[in-house]
Amino acid sequence: MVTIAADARGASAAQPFIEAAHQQHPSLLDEKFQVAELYVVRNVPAAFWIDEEGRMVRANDPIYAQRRNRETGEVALNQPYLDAVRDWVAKVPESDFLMDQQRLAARLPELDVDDVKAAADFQLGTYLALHGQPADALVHFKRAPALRPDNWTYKRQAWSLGDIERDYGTTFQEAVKNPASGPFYPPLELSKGK
Amino acid sequence: MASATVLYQDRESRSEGARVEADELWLTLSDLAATTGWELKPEGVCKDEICVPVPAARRSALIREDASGSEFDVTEFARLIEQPFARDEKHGGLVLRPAGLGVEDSLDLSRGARLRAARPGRPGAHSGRASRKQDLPALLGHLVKLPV
Repeated sequence: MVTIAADARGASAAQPFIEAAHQQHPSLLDEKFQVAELYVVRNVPAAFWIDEEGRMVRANDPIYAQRRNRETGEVALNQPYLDAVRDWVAKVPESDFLMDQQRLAARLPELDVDDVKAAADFQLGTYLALHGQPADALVHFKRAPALRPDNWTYKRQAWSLGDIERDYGTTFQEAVKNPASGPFYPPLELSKGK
Repeated sequence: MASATVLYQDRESRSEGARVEADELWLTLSDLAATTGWELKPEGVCKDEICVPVPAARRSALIREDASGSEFDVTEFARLIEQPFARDEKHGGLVLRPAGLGVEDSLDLSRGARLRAARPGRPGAHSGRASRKQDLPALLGHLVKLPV
């Protein structure tokens, strides 16, 4: 298992989360969003299964293995997903939860011009923000989601490099509920059969 | 003369001899090669195995010469090959494409670009994103490993 932190702010931003998780597996830093862009990660977390042959057999699942209720502190396991992982480990190529090529292609669509333009603006905005020009970064951080409103990784990174209320006139809760952006997370589809 | 920062693939380069004119970014030919890998050759603008002919009607918009030498409009070239880009006029910043995507992925060979004969042992210039997608372990090998 490998986790990848997609954060332009670098190791200092990702490290506290890794330490808090007390994880036993490697973590990598994807500061330039190379993996995120290549595998069309439009929000995090996003989970991918890769078999021992190096083949991707399941892609872009929006999952938390466990979630903590912020109000009650109760931790809930994502049991259906964990069961699916165990099914895969036990049955490997015969697992009911592997995706066929058609489903994989739907989860890993080819990038279109708006994707590429949005990525260019996001990259430039990030560069400017990290090089002491946060105000000048804003036009690019606003252009990217205008092109790709369903790309939450761009928005969340931009918010982290500025102030969401001051710079974007919204709150996290309002932004998530905006129907123009589509769902914050697509539904987790754990249907059996390929 | 101004300085400009060009972000191209994984490369971040600075050109101290750039000229920023409205939406255009003019680079010296040496800076063009240094920042993007594209070079102006008799057969056109070339990078690795790909050469893009310079249309006669657009030559003056792409290339100009003065007493100090030749300059190349990299943003006009991006438009010619339909390469998305982002510009920051104030600071002279230019992102020609996002990191992780190859220019080969968006270069339409049917629109006049020519693929020079690939040198033996080198992959085809249009392997681009598809091959990188299949080589996730290689990509992960380039990422920084965080201490657990």
